[in-house]
Amino acid sequence: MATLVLDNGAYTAKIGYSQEKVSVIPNCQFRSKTSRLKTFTANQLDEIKDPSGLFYILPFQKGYLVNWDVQRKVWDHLFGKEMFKVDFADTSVVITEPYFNFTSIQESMNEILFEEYQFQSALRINAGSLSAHHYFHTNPSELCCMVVDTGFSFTHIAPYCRRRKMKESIRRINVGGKLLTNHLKEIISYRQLHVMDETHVINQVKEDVCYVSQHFYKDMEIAQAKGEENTVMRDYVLPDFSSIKKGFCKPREEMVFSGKYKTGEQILRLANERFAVPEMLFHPSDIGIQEMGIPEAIVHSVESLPEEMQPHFYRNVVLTGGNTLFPGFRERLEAELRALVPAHLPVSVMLPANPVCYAWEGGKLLAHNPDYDEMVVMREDYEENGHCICEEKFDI
Amino acid sequence: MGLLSLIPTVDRLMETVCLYPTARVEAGQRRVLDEATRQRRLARQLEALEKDNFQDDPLSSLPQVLLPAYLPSVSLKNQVNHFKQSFRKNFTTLLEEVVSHTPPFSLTAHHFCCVCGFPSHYTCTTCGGRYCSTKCLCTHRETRCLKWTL
Repeated sequence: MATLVLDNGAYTAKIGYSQEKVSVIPNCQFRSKTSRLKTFTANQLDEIKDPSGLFYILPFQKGYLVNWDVQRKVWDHLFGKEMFKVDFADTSVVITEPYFNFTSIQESMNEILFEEYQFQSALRINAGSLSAHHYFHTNPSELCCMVVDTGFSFTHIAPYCRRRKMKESIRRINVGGKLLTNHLKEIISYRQLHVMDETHVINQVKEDVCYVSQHFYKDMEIAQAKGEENTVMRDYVLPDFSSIKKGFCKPREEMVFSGKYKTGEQILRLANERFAVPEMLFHPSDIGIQEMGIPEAIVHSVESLPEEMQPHFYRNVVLTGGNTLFPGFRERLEAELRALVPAHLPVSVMLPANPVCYAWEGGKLLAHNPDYDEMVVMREDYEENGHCICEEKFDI
Repeated sequence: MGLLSLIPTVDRLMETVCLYPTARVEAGQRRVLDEATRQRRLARQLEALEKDNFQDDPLSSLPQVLLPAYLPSVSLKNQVNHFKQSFRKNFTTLLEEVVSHTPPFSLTAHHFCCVCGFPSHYTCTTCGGRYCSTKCLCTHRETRCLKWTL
């Protein structure tokens, strides 16, 4: 009996059998201006000849799965002949959900998994629980950990003690990768070039060029310098999809500081945007969102817990999710936490080697756990008892 | 008194001779937005940041005749719609009910110039946008200030 682990994210789905490797695939459909009739699903993105002005159709809204049509189409493609060739009657599925998921969505998911796809058994779990499971597996001596999951739609800060989540202390910040990309699109469109349609290209710009600064105001002063002294400024070459397929950042040696470039490439000059955009994770107030940033939310969450447990949480902060891939994220978070936390408590922040797939790998370990068979709900049980058995067994 | 009356004309002279715009606005023409309008503008900007796409669906711009016959038929759509209907209309209300669990920030906020992005010290009297220098204020007045109103 095979187990399929699916970390169903709002941006990418991390999917794979528990014996094999993980694949990271976009969890949406695309339409392009050039081939208007065709809708591309998930990883068919590579087949699109002209990805300019790409139109995204996402099944998730604000982080919750609302559009089942699109999600079904993506799943059909993933479970079908071209991808994973799932044999539903013989497969058990582990699927992730966001925290505080609505009951209507949970019920819809039960119906779709059991009645439409007819999996043999299923386990619905939070992605953070899988990360916590992974962490406790690699560090068996620790009792508690604090999972920070910064993804596409939002950021969750969830404390786990002895493998159970502490529901009242979970904090959510409505800043995610989508907000950062949209903000970057707006400021580039206002200051340099109209790129509001080019989500895919600007997402690439964000991933290539942005970083988290360790000394924000100092970097701001350097960014205001002119010419060679401005070590922060970078030029980014935009793709034109005929000769340049993918955008790239020009290395410093080739940069021309005064005058124009001779070649006909489209260039974006980025200085303070490089670190001002990821700064929104630490200060959502920069843009007007009246919420705490990640370090303050961690402290707020820990302080709502019993005092004896607090040192354990500060010692075991785990970072997961795509936004943690910004260079300098871990060091900045550790420095900010160190400033906010009482001096006698040690602070340690861990960034795993692959933060995006950390939860998936936790799912893989869970599938091989001897307790796994007790945690899942079999299709026969669901058909007998309905939604209430899922509600009892799954701790969402 | 004679010298004081010369100042407005000097400014206008500078505008015509040097051809640079100044940030001066005539006293009677300046409009100041109240707090509620400013909040609405901010909410609208934040909502725009949550959008998936800024352009329209390419499929919707095609005339109906061109759409091929193999697109999903109406009956299937009705079947599938009940998932969407059951929570689409109360999704926003449900979302508001789910307590977001994060209290507002407690440390001091940074303010950035809305034109260049560097730290700002001044506020536009009309709309409340921040700016760092008079040059940025001119750009702001020409392009963004009150360009869309609620």
